[in-house]
Amino acid sequence: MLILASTTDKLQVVCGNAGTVNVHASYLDNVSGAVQPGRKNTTIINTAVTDVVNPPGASTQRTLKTLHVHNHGASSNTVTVLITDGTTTCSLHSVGLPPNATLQYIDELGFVISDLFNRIVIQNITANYTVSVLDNNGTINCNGSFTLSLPAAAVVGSGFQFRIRNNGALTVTIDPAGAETINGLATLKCCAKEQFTVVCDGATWFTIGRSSVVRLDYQQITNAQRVDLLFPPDYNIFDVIFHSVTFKPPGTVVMQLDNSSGDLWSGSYQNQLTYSWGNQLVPYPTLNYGYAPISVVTQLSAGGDSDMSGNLRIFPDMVGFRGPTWFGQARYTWDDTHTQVSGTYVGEIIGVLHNRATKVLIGNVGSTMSGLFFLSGHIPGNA
Amino acid sequence: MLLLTSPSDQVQIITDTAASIDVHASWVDITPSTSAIAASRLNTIITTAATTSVAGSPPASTQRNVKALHVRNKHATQTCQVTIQLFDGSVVTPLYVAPLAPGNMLEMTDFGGIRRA
Repeated sequence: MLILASTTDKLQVVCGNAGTVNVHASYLDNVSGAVQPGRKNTTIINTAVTDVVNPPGASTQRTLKTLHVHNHGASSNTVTVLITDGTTTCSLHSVGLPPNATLQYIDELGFVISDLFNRIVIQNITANYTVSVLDNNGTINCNGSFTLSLPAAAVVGSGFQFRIRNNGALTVTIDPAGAETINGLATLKCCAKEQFTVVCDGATWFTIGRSSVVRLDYQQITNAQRVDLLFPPDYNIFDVIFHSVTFKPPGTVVMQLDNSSGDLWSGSYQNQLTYSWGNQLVPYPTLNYGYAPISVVTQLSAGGDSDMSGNLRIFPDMVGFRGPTWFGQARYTWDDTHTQVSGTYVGEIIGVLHNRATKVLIGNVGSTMSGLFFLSGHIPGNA
Repeated sequence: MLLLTSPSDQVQIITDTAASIDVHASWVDITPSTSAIAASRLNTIITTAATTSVAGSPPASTQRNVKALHVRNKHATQTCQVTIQLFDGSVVTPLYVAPLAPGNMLEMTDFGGIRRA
């Protein structure tokens, strides 16, 4: 119930954008015990503060029964409902209304938003934030490096939950209150591109739907010497998968990590894995199996340090699989004197980072390549 | 519905930060001896960390029925923890505690109780 009790009291609506917002108000006037109904229809097309319920007459108390604010425009519009006594103005409610959505005020029930969907609450957070009971069943969309503090489990109670989505390139730290834990840990990292549900059982916290492997980057290239895949912090195992890739000879397939602002690609070959097509001897027995690699090279090249270890493995696409003879031809097919086997390739690079890098670079040095590249990261077990 | 039945009864809101909290309360006063009914309201803007009475107190021999209470944080950046409580002159009874993020609001209605809107 909203009561207008003086001749300066009124209800107003202000829109954030020009558009078409239709307002209907129904009310009852009490004039010395006599009840008289009334209503007012208003169309708002600009951002001016607009009266949607006029002040009552002298010695009259006006009780608002229903208010309907409908966004009839083609774009979302923020509508704010105000109540004023002529001196002090209070904002009662403010909400972004999608097209064809309606904000309703119903006597004894309050404000209700009606549209086609049962929408969840989304919070876009970029700095330290304390989760509250109001975030229950909502989504917290994070971008940045900050701490997401959890309320005391006993305060929000069993069944409280929210979904966290890290849409940035940095890590968010989830910090339960006091000595409480999440997944048994004092803090939990939500790394870049991760998303999962955080649940409270009334005493502690745990996660649901947290994957140990997260897709971090995806690129499709055409006739490029290299592809740069961004590698955010707090992942220590990476997995690059590529498929439908054509390497144009002559060239050397190289994977390199870049942890500086400069371009190491054309410089020294530190932190590189090199696949030298023409110089590697393929163990013959492996050629009898469809998934056997043409060649496996685990090679930390000149000056290789402890920043990385891993394998670069390249397989022919199954589409191009023709049997042992086909593999047998492959081992000499990528240097200046031999011709690369025709077809496209799938490959995988799995590595463990001991120091940080910001990019994973894959290229065909001296030539170009085309195809699809995926970078996945593995969450450390104790994150 | 919240009933205030003595001149020392109040609905209070505690704010823990200097945000900008808009509060509107609508109520109906009933005087049993005369059966008179009078509706009224109060708008309050809270800008400090304080305990604030937001629906006044009924006069003597009058029962105040608080029908609606709307609390909105209109501050652009400051989250504010809001406590809604009843005070009868000696005993404080907290009803609801919630942090209000910027733009968030609470409302109390007869059918809906206290909830986020």
